[in-house]
Amino acid sequence: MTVLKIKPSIALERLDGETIAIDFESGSFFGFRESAADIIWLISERVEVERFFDVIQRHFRATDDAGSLIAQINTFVEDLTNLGIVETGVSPKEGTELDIRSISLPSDYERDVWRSPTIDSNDSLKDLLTIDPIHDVTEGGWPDSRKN
Amino acid sequence: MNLSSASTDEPIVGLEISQLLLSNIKTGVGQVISHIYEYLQPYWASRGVKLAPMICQTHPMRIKLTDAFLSDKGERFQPTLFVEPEECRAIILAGIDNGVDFQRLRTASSRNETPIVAVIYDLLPLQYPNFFVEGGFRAFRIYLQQTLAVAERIIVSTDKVKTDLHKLGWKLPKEVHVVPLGSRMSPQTPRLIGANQISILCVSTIEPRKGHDLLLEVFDLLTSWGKDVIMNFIGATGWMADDLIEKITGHSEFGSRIRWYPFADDATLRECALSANIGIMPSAGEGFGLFIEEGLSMGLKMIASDIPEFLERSQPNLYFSARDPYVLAETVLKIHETSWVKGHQPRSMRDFTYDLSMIVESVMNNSDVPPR
Repeated sequence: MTVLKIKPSIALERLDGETIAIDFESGSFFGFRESAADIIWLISERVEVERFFDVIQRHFRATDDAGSLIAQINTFVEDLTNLGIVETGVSPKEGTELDIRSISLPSDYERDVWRSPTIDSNDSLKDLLTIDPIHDVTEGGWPDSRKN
Repeated sequence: MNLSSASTDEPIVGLEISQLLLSNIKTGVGQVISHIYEYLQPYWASRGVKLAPMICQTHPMRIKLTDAFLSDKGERFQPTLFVEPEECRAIILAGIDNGVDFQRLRTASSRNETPIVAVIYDLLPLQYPNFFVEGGFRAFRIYLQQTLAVAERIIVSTDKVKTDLHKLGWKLPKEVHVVPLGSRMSPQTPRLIGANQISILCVSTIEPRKGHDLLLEVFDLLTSWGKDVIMNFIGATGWMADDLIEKITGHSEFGSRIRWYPFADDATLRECALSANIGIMPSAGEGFGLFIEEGLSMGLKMIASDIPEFLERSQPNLYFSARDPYVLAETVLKIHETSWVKGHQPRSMRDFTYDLSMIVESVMNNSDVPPR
């Protein structure tokens, strides 16, 4: 069984079905929405990777077959590892194995059809990282100071 | 950036001031940064602590802009005063700024055990995303997440904001302290105006959540009841305000009994307050709402909407009303007949900075914060 953990230099928070990870070591930012945020949540709860599918299938309406869904999960986990967001070699959370059916994903958004998880990297977030998020923004576009 | 560092044996507290220099409008946040420097620099100097300005930004454009602004407005912040985060014994973050180099701050903080004390004003962009432009929600949450990840202590101005922070369910620093902001205006007494005239002042950026449309309805109601009413708005144009500005400037009484001063300086604010008798803060949601304390210190009876962040600041001469035009208009009439309660001094920005200094000193000395 494989248990992953989030790299310690990463600050991770979730809100309304979106998780943002900030790596204070590399300066990188990553955004995860819905299914991707849910897998990140399972990792932070130290659920074994092999059990992700069990939890996922209880929460989403799957249109793909099980094999394809598991492959998508594994590819996503591989991407997380390659980007240095997660690390291997940790023990499962006590009781997780016995209690897998009781694991419920956070109810902070409405789940429907399963969509393959993706990662928003720095490129899609970088405009947000250089501004005063309140006073630099205008209806006509922002940041205002960039235009000036 | 070519700023020489201060050379001193005194413990240094760095205050990140970029937002004060960069903000393209005069904001409450800029004023807080300015007041922290103004009050704490001499106070801490007398206690052997040096408060020094600091610019710790990531983006080259912002560093360049900061340099440009510094050459314009730099008389208060001489280049020799500036320090780097690595030199500091403690750091204060009082801006709302994703341009801050949080990565560098976190490294400096963990290597040198430098505590970071951050002021978080509110969570409004997360709670009322419809009142902010698209993208504001995400940008704000990134700012908040970075701030919470680097700070050892958080300062919020109301119990409401503290509760909201806990409700997020995010990992919070060791302590979240409630330290209310205060008035920056020195006390004054309004001129006596005609006993029957109701002269209302509202100081706030023009934005949908601030309640200006409600005040226009109150004006119309009071006028229809035969009352002699003046309505003064002071505040720059905020976000998504086009419809609201059209309502204000398109009103038949605009320019006579309804007045708007979008670029008012403090002298204009004082002059408007002198000829008013009631201040109203009808906002649907605020981090703090400084005009309550400022209006009180300028001698106005204040009416605020009955939202939690205002209700917790109950004090003499402050009254509350539901955000309903009839209820508010009736409250205005009632308060107009109510006498001013003498002898109460509302909280000031000096009080805020003093309480902040206690918290910063306690984290530097690893001791408990004395009760306020």
